[in-house]
Amino acid sequence: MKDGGLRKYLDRVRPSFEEGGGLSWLHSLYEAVDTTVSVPGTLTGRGAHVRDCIDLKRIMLCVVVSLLPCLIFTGIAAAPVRLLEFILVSLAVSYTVDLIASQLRGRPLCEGNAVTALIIALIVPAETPLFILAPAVAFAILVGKVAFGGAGMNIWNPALLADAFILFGFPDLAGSGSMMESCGFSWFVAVGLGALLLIYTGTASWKVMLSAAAGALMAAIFAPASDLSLKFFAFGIVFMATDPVTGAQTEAGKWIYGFLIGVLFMVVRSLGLADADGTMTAILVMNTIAPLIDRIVISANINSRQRRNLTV
Amino acid sequence: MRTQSKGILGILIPDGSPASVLALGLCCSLAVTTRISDTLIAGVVLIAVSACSGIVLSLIRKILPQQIDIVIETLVVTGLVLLAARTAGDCGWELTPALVADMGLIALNSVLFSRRKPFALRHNPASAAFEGLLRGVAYTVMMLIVALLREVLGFFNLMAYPPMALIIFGIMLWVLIRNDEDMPRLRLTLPDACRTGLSSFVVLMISMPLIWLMDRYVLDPGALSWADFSFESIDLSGIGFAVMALIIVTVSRAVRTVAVRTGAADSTSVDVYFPIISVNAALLSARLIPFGECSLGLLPFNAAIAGLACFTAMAVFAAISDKTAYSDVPKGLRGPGIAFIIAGLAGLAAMAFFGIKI
Repeated sequence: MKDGGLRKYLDRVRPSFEEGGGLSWLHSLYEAVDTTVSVPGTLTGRGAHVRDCIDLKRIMLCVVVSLLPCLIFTGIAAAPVRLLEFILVSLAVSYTVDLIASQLRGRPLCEGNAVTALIIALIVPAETPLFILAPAVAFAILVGKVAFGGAGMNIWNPALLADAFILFGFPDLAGSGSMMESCGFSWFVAVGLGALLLIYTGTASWKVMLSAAAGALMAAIFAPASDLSLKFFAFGIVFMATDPVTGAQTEAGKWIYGFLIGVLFMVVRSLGLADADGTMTAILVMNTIAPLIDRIVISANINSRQRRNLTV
Repeated sequence: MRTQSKGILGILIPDGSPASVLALGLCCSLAVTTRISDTLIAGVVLIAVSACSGIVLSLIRKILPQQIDIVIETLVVTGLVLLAARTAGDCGWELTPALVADMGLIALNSVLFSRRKPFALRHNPASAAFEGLLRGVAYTVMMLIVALLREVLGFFNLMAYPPMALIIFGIMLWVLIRNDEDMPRLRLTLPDACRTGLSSFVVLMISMPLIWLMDRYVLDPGALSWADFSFESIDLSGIGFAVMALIIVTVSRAVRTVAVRTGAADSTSVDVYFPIISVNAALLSARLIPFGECSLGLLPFNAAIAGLACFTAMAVFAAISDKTAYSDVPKGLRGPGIAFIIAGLAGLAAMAFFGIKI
């Protein structure tokens, strides 16, 4: 296949971004643009790896596309300009922080900044001033992601960390609710569309979504009825609980993890804590416990196999 | 003399103590870093105590009985803290009992718990005093920076909360260390964490009733009146914290001895740290939970909940650090730095439960 003009241009300017080139201090930016435009030519050559052109960047693009219905619906129902401001500020801050950090460390840019920025724009309180949003995003990217070595290694969902930063740092803002709250029932349609897309492309685990919903339903039997909206919860279990990095990674672990998110969500709600909605606390706390769940599942598996081995 | 030539950090993080020990050790400084004035008082007391305890411990190092060395060391340090607090109080400084208890915890961690063996037990009084002085100054500088950040950034409500202070500690290490390759890498593995958590549980279950009885019948104002009515005016609550620390350390040592005798634990070099972690966990719980106020019937229940919380926290922390062991964590953060950040973010995640209401 013949390369297009953009590809040719990128190849032509490559030397100046490499070691010794005039723009080598921007190497990670070049790398980011280059791998976004086209799938990198280098693939894992040896070993038992899946050799597929769906790399992390393509997966993140799937999530961005799945987020589009939610973004559009919110844009229509709430203030579109405000949403755009949120998106632009989160994008700018997250990429700037990440660019500086990765440049200093000599690493490529983290994946998933765009996804994090878009989710942040949707979930933070609508009244958040931009000068508070910016440090919140910077905090989430720096402490939540860069500190752990970037995408794929973080323990907590960065978007929710930004939300927690704003919620606990500026409790007065929390009352305003996020922009998604101004959508009607159509919000669930948008989230459903996103969920279908995520499941169809194999990006997100349906097990987590299903078990989280089941957990919330089960807990709802015991919890007093609450008139708070379920919009954030629906969005959370589709787009944030299913984050393959911060969630449980074993198959049995996913069921437990999802179920406990649902239960914890209802518990937080019925206790009437600072996080009135409950979704954020439920997912963040389960992010904390997810590695332990995985460890328990794995060692249970090892034990059962060993026992099977002994009896045969 | 084996000195660490890594400046302030070499003093703070000596001979490869695991990250979690340091993290726990600095946890108790969170309470005093909310106000700069408190931090200053605590810092001055800490410097004096760590220098003096260096001298005392070094002087008695030859005659210290092996079996109960940690108990005597605790006695020396807490005694010096009380003495220093008394002197500071006489000079007109404002010292609340809570502040004295926090200072005691910091001093215990700084002098005894952050090393495999206290420096003073291996050196002559002069160098022990010097090392104690340096260590006190290093801790004070760290605490002052955090206090300053927390006070200046008071605009952010968030900075007043302990999780943020932990994260600031982590970021400070990140900035200070940057490229240090010699950071301690000893990791708390999950089985070790579970053993540690279990021993914290046992220590809490045994020591809490003892502390409760001590408070009720010896230390509280007029508590001694059961012995003789003329004792009614005696108020020993000032030394309450020292008694608490002694009970916990003694129980922990006893639990460890039993565990080694029965073969439940071995005495490898790694194992040396874990009693320290359980002591710290128990001390923190005893400090944070008002055990004294609950009735005797509820006491085991409360102690069990605190112990269970310690156990879970240990296991969760170990599972997360196992996961980050395979991550590309920035150089300056490896070891203690990332431990602070993990602890801080875990705290932030669960902050809604800490009774902060809107």
